[in-house]
Amino acid sequence: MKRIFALVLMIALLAGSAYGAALPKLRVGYVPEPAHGLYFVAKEKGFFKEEGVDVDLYQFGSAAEGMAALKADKLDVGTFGTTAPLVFISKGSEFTFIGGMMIGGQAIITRPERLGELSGKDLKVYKGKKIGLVKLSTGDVVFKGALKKAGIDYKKDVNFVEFGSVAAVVEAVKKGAVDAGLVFPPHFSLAEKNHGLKVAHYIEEFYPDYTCCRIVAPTNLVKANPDTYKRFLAALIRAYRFYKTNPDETVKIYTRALKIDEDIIRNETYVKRVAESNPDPLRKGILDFWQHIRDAGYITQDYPIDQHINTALYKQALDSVVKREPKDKVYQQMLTFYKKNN
Amino acid sequence: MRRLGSLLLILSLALLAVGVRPDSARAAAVIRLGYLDDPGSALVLLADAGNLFKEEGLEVKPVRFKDSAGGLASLAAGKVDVGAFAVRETLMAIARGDRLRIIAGGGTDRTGSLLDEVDASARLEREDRGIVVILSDLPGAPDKETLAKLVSTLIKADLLLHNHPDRAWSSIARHRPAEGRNFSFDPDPDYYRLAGIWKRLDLQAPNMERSFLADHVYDEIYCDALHDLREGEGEADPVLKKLADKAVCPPDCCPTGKKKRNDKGGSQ
Repeated sequence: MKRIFALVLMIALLAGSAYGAALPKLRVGYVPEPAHGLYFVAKEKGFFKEEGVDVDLYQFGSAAEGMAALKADKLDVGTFGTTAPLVFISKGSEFTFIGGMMIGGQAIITRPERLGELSGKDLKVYKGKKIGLVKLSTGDVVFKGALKKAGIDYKKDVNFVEFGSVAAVVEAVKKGAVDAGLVFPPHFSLAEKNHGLKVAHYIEEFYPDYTCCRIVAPTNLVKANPDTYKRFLAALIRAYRFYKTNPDETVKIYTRALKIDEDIIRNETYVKRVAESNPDPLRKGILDFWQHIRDAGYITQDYPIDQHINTALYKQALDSVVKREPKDKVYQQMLTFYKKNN
Repeated sequence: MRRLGSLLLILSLALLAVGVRPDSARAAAVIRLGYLDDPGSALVLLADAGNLFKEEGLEVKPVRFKDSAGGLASLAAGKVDVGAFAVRETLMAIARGDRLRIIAGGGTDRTGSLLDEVDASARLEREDRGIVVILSDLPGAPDKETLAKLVSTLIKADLLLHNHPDRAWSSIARHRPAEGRNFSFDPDPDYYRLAGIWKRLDLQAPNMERSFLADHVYDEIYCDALHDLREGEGEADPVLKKLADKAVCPPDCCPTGKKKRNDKGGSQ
């Protein structure tokens, strides 16, 4: 009996090590942001391994630093905003957008006494106002996009003041040096908690489902290993389902990974729902974002960005998951969302 | 016991020698900086004459060159570490395969004339003669931290030149543009401007990667230096603000969003 047990154990161990060794490895970069949490969920719940990919996560302090690592072949894939990959691609880097990580998430903060003046559902409240922002941040680009969509000539009617960091924007709002400031999560929650400032609007109210934080990978690696990237995306699709159906555990996973106040994470993720963690590539959103950057005059040279968006891998990954659980409502909603946005 | 003590002493001295000397040597490394006798070199000349390099902890030895061709050859051979030479010849050297990287902009003659109206080539020629600051990208080149200090110093020289022109030019009087000449100074390497010149000169060979030029422009150093200088500002200097308005730098992000200049590739 002992012999049989030993044999079974040996076979199990061998099979296990063979399984682990066979998995293709992906080095994944991210910036510490609550809405990037699908990576932590997929890792902690074992979805990456179950889908057949071995993932190591690497945290970066800034999008530029992460993109430089991606370019230097130190990463296989990463999520570093939308602006940074677009700037790198426009300068000749061969990267491909294969998915997304975050939709929405930008807010306009102000001092409590200015809240009444800036409330309402019309962007015209910002006409003639002084707005602090970090140049080329998602908030900067999409807010200008929203103003343009609303028919407001923001170059003439709004006074934008650029700051070097989001902390400087919060400080300027606090001091009253600007009327309002565009900030990204979790800075508006921190500004409310630590400085008594108020969120006047989430940009989502004026510009639904705008893109933030895309998943990019070197084009040559995507072409050489499409199946690996497809598996990676399938794991994130399953992580999305988990995030939609298991809020308490998701908050704990995010909190452990990011070491940010659990209340802030819960509030942003499930109470105020300021951003959605969603792996959809949002092709139309990327193209809009590029156009907004060009409209703002930040980059004057045009470039066919569409050549650097691959939606097929995500669709294949989604189909593979749907095939396994065809009646699952979350996956069905993802299919509908994909059709609308790609 | 005495033997063990002696051994430990020798070992400590050896470790001290090994551990300390290279760092001291690195800290004291002199940066050989090539330049031209040209008003377009004003930012590097001012940084030297105004002791701005020294204030940043850099020891810089200026080396004068008669022309860009000679300066670029010395850069490519590693005889100077950094140089301020003409953009056209620099781009041509990069296209030839010289290991050079543009780390900052300099000065360009923008003197308008009636001739410009009828002959755009005169304007383009002046543009091509504009100065850029280039790094010799050979083994032993200054590290990122040193380069960031160098670029930061050039930005400070630009602020001095714009905010206190008389004081600035008095320290490099010989290089002041002649009456009627209009030089514009800008420490931004400005990839997109360089890409325009690169395209006009038709330097992109079929076998070159699309990112060939971008790989020879070190604009993240400029972005980092600009970011750090702005962080130190209370109310932003209007000249610094103008530089930031123009630069195309991906923004910082997230609660721990402090940039680190390293090549470690993140932390697990």
